[in-house]
Amino acid sequence: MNNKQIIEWNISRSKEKIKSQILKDRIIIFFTRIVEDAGKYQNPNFYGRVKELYRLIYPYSELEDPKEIFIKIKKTFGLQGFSGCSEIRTLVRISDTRNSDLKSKDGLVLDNEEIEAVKLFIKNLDSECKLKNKMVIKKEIEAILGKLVVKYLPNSSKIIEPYLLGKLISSVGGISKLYRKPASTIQLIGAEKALFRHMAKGKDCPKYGLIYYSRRILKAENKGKEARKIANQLALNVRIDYFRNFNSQKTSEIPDF
Amino acid sequence: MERRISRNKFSKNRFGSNRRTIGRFKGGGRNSRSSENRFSKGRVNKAGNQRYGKQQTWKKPKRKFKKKKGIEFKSKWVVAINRNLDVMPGKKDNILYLGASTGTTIRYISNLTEGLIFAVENSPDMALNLVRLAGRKKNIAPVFCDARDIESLKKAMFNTKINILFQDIPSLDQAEILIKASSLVDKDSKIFFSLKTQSISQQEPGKTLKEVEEKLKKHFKILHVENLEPYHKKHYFLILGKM
Repeated sequence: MNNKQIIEWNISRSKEKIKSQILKDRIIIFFTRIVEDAGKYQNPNFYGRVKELYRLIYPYSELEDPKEIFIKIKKTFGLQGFSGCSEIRTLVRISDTRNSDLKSKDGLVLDNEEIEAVKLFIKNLDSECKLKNKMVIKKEIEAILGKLVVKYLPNSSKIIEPYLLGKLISSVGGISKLYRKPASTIQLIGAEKALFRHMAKGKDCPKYGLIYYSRRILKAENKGKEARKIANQLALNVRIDYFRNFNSQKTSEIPDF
Repeated sequence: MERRISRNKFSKNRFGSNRRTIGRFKGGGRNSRSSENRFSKGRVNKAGNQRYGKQQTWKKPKRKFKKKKGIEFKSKWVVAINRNLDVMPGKKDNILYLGASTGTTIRYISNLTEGLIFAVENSPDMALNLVRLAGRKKNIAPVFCDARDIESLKKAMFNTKINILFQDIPSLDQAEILIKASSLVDKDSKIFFSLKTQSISQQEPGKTLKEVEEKLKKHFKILHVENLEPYHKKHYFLILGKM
């Protein structure tokens, strides 16, 4: 084979393999970080988050200016120039065809539900990429996040709230990293500073990390004991959810090349 | 910025009190985050007060660590080239690079050679940038697989002869990966190995270097050992030849 043919074969092969590694937990992480940003800052702009979303769908595009990406992502979702009753029929046809373009070959493939959820987010952004009515939209996005988490993580979402579960996944960096962790580490995610202070200086060991804000622990009298219970249940159920819903690769389905 | 402060302590403001209330009118409360209140440190604003000699102005706080610029702080191979070691690739050399990540070193080295460069990377987020780079350059072949998996490496290479093997993987079994991968390479080829001592153990870097050298002596002959300070602390660059 030529050098050119070897390079093309390797690029196409590695693109296929990378696509199998990009899972649906990325869209859960995306919405949790929006809710976090809206709670943390007074009036943030979402140029960075929009760029993140665009890179999920089109990972190999060479656009880097966030303002250009923001204009382009409006076009792809069929939201720009949506004014005037006469143009509605034509625009609806275009938006239907563009939804098929969103299912790109290389990046993450979105469902119809997820496309509508993303549309709601982008529709409510200004020309400066800020949320128009922050408090109302924040609640709507939280509801969307709840639906997504229950859809993909049905077992583990019964134990703690969906927003907290999204926070756990985003802080670790993906569900494929979370399911490998034991229960004792899941209990202390988010309390790393206190843990290393305990290890270095011999101060008291932390009992809970991000799990602390769940309703079960806030009600309980013995909070350390309840945190241990939740972490044990969570470690089992995350593994069940991962192997049922996320793990698309199976040993029999991998083709030989 | 200059600001005038009434020096007369007993001059009353519009509320009828004697307190100075400069911060309260313009920048909100004393503890508010407004830009004007950055100047004030305590109860009284001393920004424009020339009674204490120099005029105090707000400055951007200095960084604790200086931002390191230049490719030498990122790439180990480039440091070795600049120190005139025998690591310069030939014009038609094929290279197998294990642990490519986003491809900062490969971008530099692809200009030096016309041969193929096989860039191996395992994590998807890093490999996305690598594939994007391979679209621009003409002699980079990205391989998305584990470096321990030799069979998939063999299939990706299509029996091309490799002149240089380079390994730069931060893992505990770094030496074992090199010994495995050396089966892909002939006797004439050069082998470069950048050792990361802290990923193996937290003891002194000199001790871990000796331990790794004893492992490598069974399979390779060690030609040169280079300490990469001050650019990379606790890192070593080894030049090896196959037995």
